[in-house]
Amino acid sequence: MSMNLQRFEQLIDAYGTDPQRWPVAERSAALKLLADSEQAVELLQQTVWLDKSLDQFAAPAFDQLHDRLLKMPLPAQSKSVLERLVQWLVPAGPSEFAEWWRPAALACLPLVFGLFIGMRLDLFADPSVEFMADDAELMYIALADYSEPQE
Amino acid sequence: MVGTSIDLLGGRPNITTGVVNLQTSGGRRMLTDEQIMAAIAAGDQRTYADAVRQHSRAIAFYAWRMLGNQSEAEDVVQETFLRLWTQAGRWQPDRAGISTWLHRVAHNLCIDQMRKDKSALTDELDEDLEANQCTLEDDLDMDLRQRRLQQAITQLPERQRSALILCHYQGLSNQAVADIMELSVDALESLLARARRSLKVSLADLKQRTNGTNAKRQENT
Repeated sequence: MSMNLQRFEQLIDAYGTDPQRWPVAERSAALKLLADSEQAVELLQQTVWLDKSLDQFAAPAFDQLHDRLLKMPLPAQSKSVLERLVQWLVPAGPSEFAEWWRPAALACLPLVFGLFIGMRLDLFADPSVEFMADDAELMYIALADYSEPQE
Repeated sequence: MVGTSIDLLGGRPNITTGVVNLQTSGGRRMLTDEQIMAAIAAGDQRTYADAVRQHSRAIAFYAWRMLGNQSEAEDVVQETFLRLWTQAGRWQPDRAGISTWLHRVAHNLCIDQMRKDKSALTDELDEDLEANQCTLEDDLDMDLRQRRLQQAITQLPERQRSALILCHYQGLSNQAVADIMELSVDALESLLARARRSLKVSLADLKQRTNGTNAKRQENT
């Protein structure tokens, strides 16, 4: 948005007269306009009193607040089993332990994945499993009672 | 619910704006917002305590200016930081920084609180002002000026009030405030302009008195 007197007035209306409160993207252009334009200075001066008044609205010190917050009982953080597992595997806090454990845990992941896949492939690749299943089926057929029911 | 109590008031780390410095065996360590929230989500009470020290006062100022009541403001701060503890895992780094996130939580809590006791504060302030009307004529001292400001701000519609407090007092960027209030920057500017226009009207007598006092001072000097 280009800076002109109209936009400058909008800035003053919305953010007040302190340049620190103006949007960063427009601040330098607004300051340049303020340096070059008497009308801009006049606009600013008309509103200075309001910002001075607002700045006098001081808040209490809240001296005891830190202590109160730090001593309050904290509830247990509810986490799913998966979150607990991930947290156990990869501690997220600022711990020295995490610095070497994280790469180690990550390095183990392909190994775990490979083992998992390998075991599953092994299960399907074993021909005896299929043979045993067929053999058992034939045995059950052979043992079945095919006699005619007597009336 | 199982409760744990923390008391980490001693041996506190140095804190700077934007990041928290933690004292570790290897020296100072800077933590980003993402690391802080991850640590809190993982149950790290020391990092939580650092975040409390860094942000609680700003949140308290916001809540107090919104509600005009210290006790209620402290309750809002307490609830805000409880949510930081319990909901840190849901924080999304791409959406907001910790300060913006905390302000958003506090903002929603303040709005809820204001809706609960909408008329109480205004009535209380009106009574105070009536009681002090005689002194207003001669001596507009700081305390009374504060009350006038508080009343004028409290009488703003809640969204205008939030926008003004977040931008003027909390030092947040317009984009951060727009995110907290879930509106566009243009809409935020419109709210701010309306808020300040209302304040110019309601505080007009302060302006006259300020100008009068300044003129008197200049005459005396």
